[in-house]
Amino acid sequence: MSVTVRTQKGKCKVKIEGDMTIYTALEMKEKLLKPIEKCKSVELELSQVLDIDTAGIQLLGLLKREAMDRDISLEFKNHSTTVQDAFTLYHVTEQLEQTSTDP
Amino acid sequence: MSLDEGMQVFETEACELLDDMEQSLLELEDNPGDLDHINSVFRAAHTIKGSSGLFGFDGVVGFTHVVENVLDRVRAGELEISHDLLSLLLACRDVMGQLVDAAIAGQDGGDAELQKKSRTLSEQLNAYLETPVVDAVDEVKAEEVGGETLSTAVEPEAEVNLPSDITLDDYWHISLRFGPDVLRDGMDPLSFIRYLGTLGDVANLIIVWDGMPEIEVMDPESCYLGLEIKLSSDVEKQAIEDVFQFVLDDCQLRILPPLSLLAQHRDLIEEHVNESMRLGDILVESGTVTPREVNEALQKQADAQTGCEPDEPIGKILHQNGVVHPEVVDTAVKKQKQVKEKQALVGKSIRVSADKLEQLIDLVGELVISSANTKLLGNRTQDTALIESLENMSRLVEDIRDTGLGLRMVPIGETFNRFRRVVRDLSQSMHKDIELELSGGDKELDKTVVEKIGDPLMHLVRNSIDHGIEAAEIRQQNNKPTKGKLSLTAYHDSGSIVIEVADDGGGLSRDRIIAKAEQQGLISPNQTLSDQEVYRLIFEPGFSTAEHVTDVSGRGVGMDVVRRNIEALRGQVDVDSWPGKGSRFSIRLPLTLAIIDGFLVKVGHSSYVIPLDMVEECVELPGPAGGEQVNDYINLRGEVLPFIRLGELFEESRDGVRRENIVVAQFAGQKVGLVVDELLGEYQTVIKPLGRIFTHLEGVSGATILGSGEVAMIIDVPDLVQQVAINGGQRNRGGTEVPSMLAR
Repeated sequence: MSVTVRTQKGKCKVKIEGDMTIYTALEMKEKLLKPIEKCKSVELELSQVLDIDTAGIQLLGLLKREAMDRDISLEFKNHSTTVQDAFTLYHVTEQLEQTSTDP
Repeated sequence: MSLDEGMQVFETEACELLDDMEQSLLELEDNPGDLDHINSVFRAAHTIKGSSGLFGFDGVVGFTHVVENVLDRVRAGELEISHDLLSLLLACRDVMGQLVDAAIAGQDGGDAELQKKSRTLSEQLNAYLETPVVDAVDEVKAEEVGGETLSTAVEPEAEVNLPSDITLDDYWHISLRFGPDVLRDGMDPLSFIRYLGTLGDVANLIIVWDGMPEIEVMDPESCYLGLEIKLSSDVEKQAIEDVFQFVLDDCQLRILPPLSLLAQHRDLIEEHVNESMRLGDILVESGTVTPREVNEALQKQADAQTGCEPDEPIGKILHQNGVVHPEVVDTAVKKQKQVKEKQALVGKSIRVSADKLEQLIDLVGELVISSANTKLLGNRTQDTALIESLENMSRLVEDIRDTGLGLRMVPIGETFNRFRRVVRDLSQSMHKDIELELSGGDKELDKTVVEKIGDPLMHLVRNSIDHGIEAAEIRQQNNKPTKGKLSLTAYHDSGSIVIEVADDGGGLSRDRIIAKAEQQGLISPNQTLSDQEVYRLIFEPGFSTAEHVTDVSGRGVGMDVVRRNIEALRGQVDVDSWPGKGSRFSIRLPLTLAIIDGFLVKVGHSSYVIPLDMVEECVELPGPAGGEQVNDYINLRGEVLPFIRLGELFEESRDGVRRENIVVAQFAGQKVGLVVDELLGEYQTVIKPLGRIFTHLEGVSGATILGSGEVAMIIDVPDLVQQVAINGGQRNRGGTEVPSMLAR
């Protein structure tokens, strides 16, 4: 699993490649928290996520909550099929797609 | 049901309840903390109050209400059961009984004396209540008198533990709260959801994030999630639960069936529950809950149980857990109650009037006789098919006979239990500390016998308490435990039942009995008597050795009446005594009075029946018929066996008898040989009592009718055994003694 962060005009583009599972959860939390701490706007590129499980979903949920708390815009982009499936199963698409600007 | 009938039911019920109450109170004496017994006492009082209220017996209601109040405080653990309180409650129980009797007799509240008594007791009871009850009757009227209501099972205000955004509609509601280690253990809830999708349509799913901690402390490997799922599916609840079976240990799972299934579950309960089941089982059976959910609720119930608080109903816990709809529980509770009531009516017992039973037994007796006759005739035809069918029939008749007689059998325990109160009260009034030991209460015997044995037993028990067991000081001097022991024991012994009344008192005084008997002219001064014979003297009319006449016994009437009563039941009473150690009265009674298995023999031209239970064996009498044996003994495998020639005893003409047999009969440890001509074998014998003129006939106890219509006498083995024992070796064949066919 790898996380690459590119910062552009205060906007962070984060690309996740590989698995977002229980096995990578610890590492991922660390890596994903950084952009939230320094950017006002974060874009998560999910196209290269090969596998996602509940730990991954939970982490995304955590990020979302944190972003909303800090008034940061967090967007998920280009979900891979695996991610889409998981979101649908958990009925979380709506929950996680809303941005901080929404009421 | 007319009022009269209702009243009758009330009377019987009250009687039984009062008996229960007494038993439980006495039990409480030994185990003061026993909740079951406290509850049963309370229930008895409560029910009596309730049904008295129905009949408007305010006197009973008023008094019982005070009793109930005190019991309620005992039940709540506010009052401790003490010896005094028990004595008071026992007295109250008696007054309740008297009040009920008075009310039924049309004098509610009883006469002046009873009123005074109940007032005194009420005052004593009120002392146990912090706030005295001002006017018991009015207070009761205000509250509901009827039985307990059903609603205890599910209270309407009980809250369902569901999030507010999920409403009750046509979906299964599955509520999951994962434990923290679910993910770490390699479980992925996602896969459960995926699998759930194969069972039905996941209409809605909400992740509950509430459990997630602050970002700094959040451990990404722990699971903090909960799920609320709406599932539309027509599978069983168990199937849904099985989806989560791997995480069951590590999560909280609540599955609430859809409302559409509610009716179905209720129908299932209505239709299929026909035997007495526990509520949890009923609910599981209907599919509305799973066994796991019931176990969980039971566990919760057990955990919540604290001391005296009554358990929270399982239905309510299930409801609180949000796994079941209250309506289903209600249905189940109602059904359970219905079934119980039905079973109480059908399964437990039916009241049948004794007359009807009597009639049935009579008819069975006639049936036995007539089937013997049919069998006899059938055998003559030598028609194998007919004989076979007759064999079959006679086996059935035998079964009917046994079952019929079984109907009349009741355990002796109930009679025994009555004595607990007697012993308690008597020992108190005589300032003796006596422990009563009961055993063999499950032994059954004929109802008529049980009814008639009560009085003689009472006499023996009173006698033991009064004369047998010494006062505490004397016991101490004699190095005996101060607490005296009285035991009532019943056991079976060769076709009879033996009831023993034993005490560990001073035993019978041989010298005093002899002195008294001489004084009364019962024996002559220089007669030598065995201990047994001496002890038996106490059963002679007018005999009493007590130096002090007490109100319990000692007036010189009694023991002879005891013996007479027992003999009237074809029984025997015997006494053993050990000076300084105690005495034991044994009553030996036949199990039944109506039909027995007999052993048919022939003497001369007549038939005789020997009760089969007493027959040990048959041997051939050595020597020629009517031979000149010098004495009436034979050597039976090294044992001396006295015998009686029935032919001589009953003066039968015995021409052409070639061979004689000895039937060895046994009674109360004594053996006697009965010399007969022919052995005919087993025979079902219906005992026909002999007319009044023959009451004093010795050697026979009754008669029976054979299949051929002939009459056969039933040999009174106990009587013969006794004759042999008394006469010892003195009786010589054809000697001075006239065969005692004559009245005494």
